[in-house]
Amino acid sequence: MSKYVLKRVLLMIPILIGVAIMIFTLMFFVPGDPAEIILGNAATEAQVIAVREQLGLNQPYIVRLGSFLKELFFHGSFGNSYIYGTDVGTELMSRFPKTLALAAFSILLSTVIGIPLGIRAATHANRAEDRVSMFISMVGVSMPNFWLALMLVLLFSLKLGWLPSSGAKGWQYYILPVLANALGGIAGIARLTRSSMLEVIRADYVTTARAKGVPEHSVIYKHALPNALIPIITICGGRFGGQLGGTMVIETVFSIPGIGAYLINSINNRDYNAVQGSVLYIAFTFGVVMLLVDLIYAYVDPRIKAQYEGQSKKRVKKVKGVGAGA
Amino acid sequence: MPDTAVKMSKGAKRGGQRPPKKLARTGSALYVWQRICQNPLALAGVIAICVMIILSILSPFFLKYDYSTIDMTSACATPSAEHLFGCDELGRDILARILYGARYTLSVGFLSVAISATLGIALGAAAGYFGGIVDQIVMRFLDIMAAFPQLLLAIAISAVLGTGFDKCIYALGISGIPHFARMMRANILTIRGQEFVEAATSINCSKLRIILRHVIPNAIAPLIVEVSMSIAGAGLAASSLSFIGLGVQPPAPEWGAMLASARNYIRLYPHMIMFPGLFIMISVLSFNLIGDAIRDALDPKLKD
Amino acid sequence: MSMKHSSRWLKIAGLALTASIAMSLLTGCGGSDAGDSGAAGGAAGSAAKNLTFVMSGDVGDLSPFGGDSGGRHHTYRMMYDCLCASKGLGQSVADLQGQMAKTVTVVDDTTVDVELYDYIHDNQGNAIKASDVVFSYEAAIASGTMEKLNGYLDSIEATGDTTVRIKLTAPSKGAMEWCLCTVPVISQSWFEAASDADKTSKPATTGAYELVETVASSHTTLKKNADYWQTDESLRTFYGAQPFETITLNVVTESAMRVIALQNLEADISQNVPANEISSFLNEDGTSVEGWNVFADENGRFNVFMFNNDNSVFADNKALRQAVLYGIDFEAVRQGYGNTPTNGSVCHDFSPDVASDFNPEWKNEDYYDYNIDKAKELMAEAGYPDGGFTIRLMYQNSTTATAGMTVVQDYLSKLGITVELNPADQALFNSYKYDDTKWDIIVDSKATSDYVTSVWQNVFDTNAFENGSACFTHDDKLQELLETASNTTTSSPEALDAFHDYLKDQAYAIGMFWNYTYYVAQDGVTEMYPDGFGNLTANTVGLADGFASVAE
Repeated sequence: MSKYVLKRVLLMIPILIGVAIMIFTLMFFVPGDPAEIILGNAATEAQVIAVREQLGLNQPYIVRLGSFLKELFFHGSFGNSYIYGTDVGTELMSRFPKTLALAAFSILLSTVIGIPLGIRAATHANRAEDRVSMFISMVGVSMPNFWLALMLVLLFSLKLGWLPSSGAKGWQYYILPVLANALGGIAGIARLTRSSMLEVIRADYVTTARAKGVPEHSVIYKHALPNALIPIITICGGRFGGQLGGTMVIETVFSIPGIGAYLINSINNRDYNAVQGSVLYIAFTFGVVMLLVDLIYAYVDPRIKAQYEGQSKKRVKKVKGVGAGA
Repeated sequence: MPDTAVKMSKGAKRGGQRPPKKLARTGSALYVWQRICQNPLALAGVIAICVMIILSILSPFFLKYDYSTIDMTSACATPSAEHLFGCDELGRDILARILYGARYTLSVGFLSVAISATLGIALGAAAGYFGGIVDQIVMRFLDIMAAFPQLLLAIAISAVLGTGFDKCIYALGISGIPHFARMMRANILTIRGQEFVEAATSINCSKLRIILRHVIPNAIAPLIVEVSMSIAGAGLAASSLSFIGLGVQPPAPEWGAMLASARNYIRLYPHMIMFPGLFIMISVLSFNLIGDAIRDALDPKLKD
Repeated sequence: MSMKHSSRWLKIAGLALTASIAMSLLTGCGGSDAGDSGAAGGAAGSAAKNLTFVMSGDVGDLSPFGGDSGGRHHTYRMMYDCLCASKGLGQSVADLQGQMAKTVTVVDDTTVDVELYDYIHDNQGNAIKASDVVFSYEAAIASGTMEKLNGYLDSIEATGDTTVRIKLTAPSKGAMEWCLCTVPVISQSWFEAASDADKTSKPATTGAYELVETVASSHTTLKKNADYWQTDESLRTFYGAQPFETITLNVVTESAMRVIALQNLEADISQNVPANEISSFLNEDGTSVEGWNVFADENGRFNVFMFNNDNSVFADNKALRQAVLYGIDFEAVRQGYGNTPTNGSVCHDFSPDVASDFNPEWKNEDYYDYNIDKAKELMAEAGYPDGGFTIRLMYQNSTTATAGMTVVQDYLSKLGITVELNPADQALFNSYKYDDTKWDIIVDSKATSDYVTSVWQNVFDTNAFENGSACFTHDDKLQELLETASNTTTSSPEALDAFHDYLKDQAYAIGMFWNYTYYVAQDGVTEMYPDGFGNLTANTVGLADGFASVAE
């Protein structure tokens, strides 16, 4: 098992190098550069050329890529932001907890609501209750999250005055963003829980338990649920990536100083170092979460553990449930 | 649809399960359609999408107002008998814009998923079937792409390509490739080991023929669900792109772009953001419901 | 049977749900009017402690010579003192307030002598002497972010421990005032020793407020500089006021969210409140709604409409350029930007009329007032009686600009011209605007805080461009008229008129219109003095007795 963990951790390194090269290359081809942002709209041509030279932006692709990778892997530095002048690594460190909190609480909320909803739907499969709860969760996943965010602000900030509309100065500032971000996840998790439960409920050992006279409540929660939860762990991991992506838009709407808002802002500013740093941070976090998910998965399900040790490369990412809320 | 192959695959996979009564064979297109018709919500979804497409094509012929006619005197007009959904900031009729704009929004969904599905399936099939070095190269590259959350990848690609209807489709299409490729590869791996492929190999079918005739059709069936779900996801992602200034931009009456331009008016004229939002919701919901029904149809475990 | 039954019920439930969401949202945002702000003006008698200022632009890099950004303009003047301060547009050197400068003596057209106070120090205790001033100006030029200074300044030298002589390259209008009022003065020893991180996060500043924290695209907190060098309050300029203990500047990019922040009592002042939102705060008669104070952000910014005069259908076709200008109702375009009839005006020159040397007579002239018949005549004269060609119109992307450009598109379609709209984000816009292959018409924003000639030079001065000018003109007469008009020794009302008339007739480019947005404040904030570009520095506001921030 430890050999497998080590292998997975080592595998992340080439992927991160690949991500670094890919995002650098993408940004290289984005037209426009930070010199034009630094100088503002009134700048003349000569000014722009001078600043571009000063920032080293006139060097060829390969030279810039080389120095970026060298800085990154030998000094662990993302460089300074072209626009803010600050060290990108420090900036990301201070922003990371906010994004993580937003994504983690969104997942938590999706799970806390989604799993019971899914169980309820499964135990009442194909009855009105099932259909209605599935339909409602489906409506939730079908709304653009920023649209939902704005609507929530109109209701809870402007109309009712219960919650602040922007910023991140305390827990109450996170309620609306988490709500807006989580709604999409609820449907996915509810959906998966339902199908996973249905599958398990019909399994032989559950039938056996019933036959032995175990009370229905106990059958559901003691026998069926623990097994049904296994695939849910994976989808939570997959959703986490979606939530990290979703935070970019949500942070922009609510002016939360996280990595997502920083990234969007940096793309608009062509602040290459900041974009590369943010993307690597997100990719790394995503990678670690997926790794943890796989490890937990392997830990709770001995069959998979055995399979992993046999053919770890053939990991099948089985994503069921609603895949809509990117 | 090569029905025999499907039947064999299902038979192999779920040996012994009895076929449902009075329905076409499990997994066939007809069977899926029958299941959708049985599911009132999915049927509603199909109808909603069809109605939107038809209205979008016909709207210029029966609506009183053109989607692009500017009339500053009725700027931001609230819904009335004259303008059922009100007017936007330039006095353009929102109903006309929404109906006309359905063609943009739905095309973004269909075309971007067409790109991701085609390329993803091709890559995944190649990786899964050939294995070895091809698999290694394709999968490592896809691992890198999959290390980006999908919306982030779409944003990065949009930044390179610029704004616009076609570019939005490319950005969403490319960013969806890894998902399809991985699923396809996983399906192929399952199918490759099954008896009928071995049987085909043993009677000296050519590799290409095996892939085209046997492997791909059987591996694709489960992906139909993903296609429907991804169209739904693409609709949402497109509106997120518009919101942050990438993707389709106003004045195109694409619904996401309409949301983006109406957001400055949410406080005083919420109807401007409400109606395009509701239509996005209905169309996304429809695709999700359809996808859901197909999933149920293809997965006998979930049947009652 | 029962299955069918429940499915119908479900459909109804679904419809009801959708409808109820729509209804709750409609009611959720219907009648919430202003007025119920009770926080400002409470707690009478206590000293003001905080101010929360919400703005649309990020502060960017707050180091002394950091790059240009929307939010920096609201921030850096209370952090860094300069030699002088100006309050208002187009003042001559004699009208400036001395900040670090005790006296400013005009030697000749291009030279001034500045005497500094001899007790200036920054918040880290470094004394500021003449050598530091010279260093600051040199560092400003070296930073690349104040290239304008490079063009203006011939030399700066310390003539004593606290005296400096500044010499310009040419007696350009407004140049000396700009040089005296814009460059932050900092300590040489600090700047040379400080790391890049210290310069941005812990700068040694000379102003009335010092930086506590800045978080990119989120917020910036400043606190009163307890050790402000200018201890004699009577000598402080208005940038030296210290009415608050702390000032928080929050960046909120969505305009609707800025307004909600005001109404939800999360902001004392909000900058850049668009005209379409103002009806909640401003009565029709122009007075503020009770509970609020509204200040128009009138400034020297305006939008220009320029042809590609080198590499497009418009090059060498004056009649066509004129036809297009006559064919567009710029008042409609202005209102298309999402503004009300009263908060702006079309231009009458390639400048806004607030500039101090703007000739009021120009307002009475026909400056391409909408005239479709004349436009059609000119189209025929230009050789395109039915239009029939496509042009690319590039502009900086925003939802309001797109709405306005859609109106342009609409008008030009009436001349048979197809307009392809090319919105570009700021970086893209700035990199394409000097590329003659990227656009046929460009709509850009320009500004002046002093003279019309500043804008003219910024756009048309051949010396600053590789391809003629910002709109690729190659016209020696235009350049000659520009030089005459902008040099203080040769400038005269006649010279200004000559340039204005010639440019108008050639129709290379015109000033389109300006619109202003608003500052809206809780009613405890009673006065505001934005600078010439409309930027308010938060410590300069006037307060009612007993002002209390919403944060308290």
